[in-house]
Amino acid sequence: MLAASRLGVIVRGRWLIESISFAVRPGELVVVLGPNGAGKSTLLACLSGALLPSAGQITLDGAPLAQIEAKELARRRAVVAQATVVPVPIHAEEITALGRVPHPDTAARSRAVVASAMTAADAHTFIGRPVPTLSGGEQQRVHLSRALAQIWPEATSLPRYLLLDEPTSNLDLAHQARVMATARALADDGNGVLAILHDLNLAAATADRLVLLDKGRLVADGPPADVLTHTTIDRVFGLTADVLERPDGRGPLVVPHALPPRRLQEEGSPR
Amino acid sequence: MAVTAAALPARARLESAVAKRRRRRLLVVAAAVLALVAAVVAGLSNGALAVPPAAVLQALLGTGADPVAASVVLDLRLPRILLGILVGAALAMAGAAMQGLFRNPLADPGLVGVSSGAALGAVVVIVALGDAVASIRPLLLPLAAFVGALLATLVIQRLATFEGRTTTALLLLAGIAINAIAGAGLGLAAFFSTDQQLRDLTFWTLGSLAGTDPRALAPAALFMVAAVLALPLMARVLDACVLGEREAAHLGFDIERAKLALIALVALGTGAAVAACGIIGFVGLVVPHLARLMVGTDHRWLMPVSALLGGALLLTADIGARLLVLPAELPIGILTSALGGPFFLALLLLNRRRFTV
Repeated sequence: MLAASRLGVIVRGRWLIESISFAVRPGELVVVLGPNGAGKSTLLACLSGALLPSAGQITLDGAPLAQIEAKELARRRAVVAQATVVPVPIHAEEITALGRVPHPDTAARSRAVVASAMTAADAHTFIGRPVPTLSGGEQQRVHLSRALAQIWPEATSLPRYLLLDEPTSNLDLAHQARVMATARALADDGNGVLAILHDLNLAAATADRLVLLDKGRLVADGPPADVLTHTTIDRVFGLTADVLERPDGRGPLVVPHALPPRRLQEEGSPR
Repeated sequence: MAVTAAALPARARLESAVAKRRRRRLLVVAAAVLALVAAVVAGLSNGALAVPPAAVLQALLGTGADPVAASVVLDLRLPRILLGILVGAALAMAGAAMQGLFRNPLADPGLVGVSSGAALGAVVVIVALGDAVASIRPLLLPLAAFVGALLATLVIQRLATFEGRTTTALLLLAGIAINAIAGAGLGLAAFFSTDQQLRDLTFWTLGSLAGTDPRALAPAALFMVAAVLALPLMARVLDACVLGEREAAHLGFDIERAKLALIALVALGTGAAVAACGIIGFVGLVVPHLARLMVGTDHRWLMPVSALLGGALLLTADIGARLLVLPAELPIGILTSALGGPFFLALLLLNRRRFTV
């Protein structure tokens, strides 16, 4: 379990996130939602160990995150950042192979995992291609494959954790669905996955739980149907929306009303 | 999600891509070794006194009939050539390490001021301390150059790297500032120096494998050997730096420690090279760039190939320096800059789009 308790980050006197407690359990796909500036990326930076929280504590399977040895941590959790710019013509499979750096692999094992991870992330068609020549979405799939390679199951399988910062932001519809299906499969295998998304419906359709942030605070945490209600969407996004039921029965379907948003109307813009 | 049958086609593609690249890299290494050997032979046989390659071989084996030729080859040229290999390797690897660390192909120890920082450190010892420290000068010189290089590298790192990212503009502007400061220091030293010291100073700014003080070579060579042997150990962390500092840390690297180690090694290699031979520009820019074109970006290959090519390039330039204006000798820095300057311009031209953003 990757757990945060009363987590806070203060920068120049301002709390970016404050008093956030929640957990990602093995077998769970948790999606973090919230408007820009809500503190989603700050939260993810804390959970990944990149940012030391000013308050509170994070534990990974019971051990304080800060006390886990770096290589050990790297074998148990992987992170895909929002925009990773690769400045040199390194090949896609070499990026994926970086995921194996924390592991004491044989060369053959490393290549087997790299091939599997690239296939799982639908990046195997980029083998032999320099990463800067790929489109943004294609590069994102390469980085996902690197993260999958990093936490690929070993013989002695502790739960592993994958943290994704907007993994679908540059992807077409089909690849958005594929990435989330990969994340889903990883969770179904007994691993914990945390993803930041902006698409409420994609989140509702794939996640076990949604965590809603607003202005650095956690405002809702629960199953999609409980979190995505008319009231919370109004309160957090300032948006009037109909919350319907998906035809396939997998969670709620949020249909925001046409522009202009309600906040603008209240400020007296003509209607 | 185990290693599955679905991955078999990808596995086959990967194996063939990896095998192909490995063959190509081995070929490049072989070619680079040959180039270095050829440069060594050419360096041993060419000069004011031409010694045919066969006689060079005899001299090396101790079976030569001509004692003068043997002495020229073994006593005059061989130490110089060993020094050239070491300096070329140290400068090229320092360049490759800086480019990896700063994630920028223009991070050359000369361009960003590390070399002039080293030269200033060395010159301070020569002019300010003068003959007072003559007995420990051989050791003090490379140490001072190391300190100068270290300070310059730290300033660049602090200035040009912001939130884990280095911008080309800040990097080069920081380099201009450091070169200016070092230039002022060198000018001041020149102003207060004696005639003999002035000749030494000219040597620092233009570079030569002839060396000023043969006693200073041993400690400097030791420093360079240390840097050349230690830098390949940083290959994997440099590979991870391609993703950015934070991502490298996510892969389990202690990135702050690695950064300090890299900065120290770059300063050690560059500082010692400058202490032994003065400022020899552009080797750290040109060589890693060529090596990258040939073996790709993997530092496990890039480092050794840069070392081999750096040695070969410097020896070739040194032959030019010794032969072009016989019986005098050109400072080698003039040659590498004459070669590297246009190369730098071409690099800018080809990458204009990238460097303007």
